[in-house]
Amino acid sequence: MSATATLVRLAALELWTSFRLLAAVAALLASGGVALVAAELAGPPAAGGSVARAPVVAWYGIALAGGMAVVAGLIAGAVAGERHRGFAGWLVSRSAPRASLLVAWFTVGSAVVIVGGVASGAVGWLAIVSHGAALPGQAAAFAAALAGCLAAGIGGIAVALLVGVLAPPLAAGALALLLVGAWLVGTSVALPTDAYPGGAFATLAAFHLADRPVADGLRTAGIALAAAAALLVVALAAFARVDL
Amino acid sequence: MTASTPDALWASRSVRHLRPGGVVCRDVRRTVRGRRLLDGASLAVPVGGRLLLVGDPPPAASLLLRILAGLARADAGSVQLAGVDRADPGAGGWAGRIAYVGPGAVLPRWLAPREALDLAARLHGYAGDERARMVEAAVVRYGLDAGGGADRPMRRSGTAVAERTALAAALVGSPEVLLLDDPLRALDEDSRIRLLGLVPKRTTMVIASRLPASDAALATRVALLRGGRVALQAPLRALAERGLPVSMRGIEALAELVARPEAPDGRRRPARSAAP
Repeated sequence: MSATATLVRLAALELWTSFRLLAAVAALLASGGVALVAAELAGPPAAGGSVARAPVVAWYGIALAGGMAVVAGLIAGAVAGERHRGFAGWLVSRSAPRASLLVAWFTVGSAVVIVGGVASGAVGWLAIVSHGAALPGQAAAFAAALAGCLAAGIGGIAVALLVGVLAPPLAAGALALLLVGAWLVGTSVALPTDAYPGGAFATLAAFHLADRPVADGLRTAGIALAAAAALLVVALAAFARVDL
Repeated sequence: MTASTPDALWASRSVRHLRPGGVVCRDVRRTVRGRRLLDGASLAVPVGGRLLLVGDPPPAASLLLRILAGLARADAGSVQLAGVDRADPGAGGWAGRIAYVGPGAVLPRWLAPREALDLAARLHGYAGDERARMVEAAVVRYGLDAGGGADRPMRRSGTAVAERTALAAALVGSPEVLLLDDPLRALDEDSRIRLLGLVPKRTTMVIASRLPASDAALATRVALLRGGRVALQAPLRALAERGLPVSMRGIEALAELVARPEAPDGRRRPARSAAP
């Protein structure tokens, strides 16, 4: 097993034993629950099919963005805690490359976002279809928009790593929550466009109305992944210089 | 090459005559939050040497040790450990040749000692039976198996077991240089001395200590870091020869004596710079 694989396993165990993994999955699943509640509160679907900016879809997007911000806060707190406690230093002094340490946390954080996000998407889709805000045939469009949102969530993990590398544990958690929350929730209420990272949330809010929803979703996913890669490089550069 | 070759080399006359540098740092500088903690610190410890490093203020010694271990960066200066330049990008496996044990219990408390040792061995690249044998040997050698404690999470075994495990894990892979920052404080003095006495004789050891008297038995030389520079580097026996106690005050007094030796007429000579 390579050093990176060992560190990935270690990061996952750290999340599990500190109950952060449970909190992260719960936050993401709760976003699906918000869609169900919104569908319940919105009452029966409007006659004549979908309506523009259906509240169920909009609320689901906002809740998913909030859930991803919570995951980012938890990951930032975990990384900062490991650094602050001296365990990161212990690992580095035991031959673990600094970059591998951060890549391990990125891998675990991204996996949580993807697994939790897909589960949340399943619940959210059921709520949206049952409310009549979208037709069952629009599942591919929803999946593409969700993929873009997950990619933006992975970008949020990269932000969390950068904050976790630089700030003390509590401040890192709060700061990552605020930054990623402002970024993703802000984009989920913005106008639909794919020209910025996180634009997938705006695309998700109107996926049932878009002309080319799959193409839009995939394009926003690409932009978000590129942003995540750039942010990860910045976090790695910062981690290479920071005292452990 | 047999397993005994390093010991044979170590015992050879040429190595004993050459006394190559185990730890060498030159003109290390570092400012932390506007405060210059290291201002041209230079240190040289021969292979197999045991140095007690005392800092005034104590964080300066800890910082120098962390710079030596590659955990903190220096603003300027050079570091060479186990004959390899820290700045040399081609120094493959450099980290594997040194070990650092910091103060307190840094390992996650949910890990059991055996898991921590296994983790250290994995990171060093050991696999299969060799890793299992190495872990088992460390468990026995450092007394971690008492009462089934080797498989119990460290949060249930206490800080002393966590610190003992950290030391055992640091020594997995037989490092050439061991850097200890105020180590094993949760253990009583006898246990600490006994455990650190298990470190192989050819391992170069630098101990940053806030309580020099309790660590003096482990070292043969002492260095005082004052004003960011190494103000004294002398054999520990120099303290006894001058009737000084092995304490912070005694070491400072020795540094004063070295810097301003007494003239034959009993008066102090003007201060001169103390060579490291």
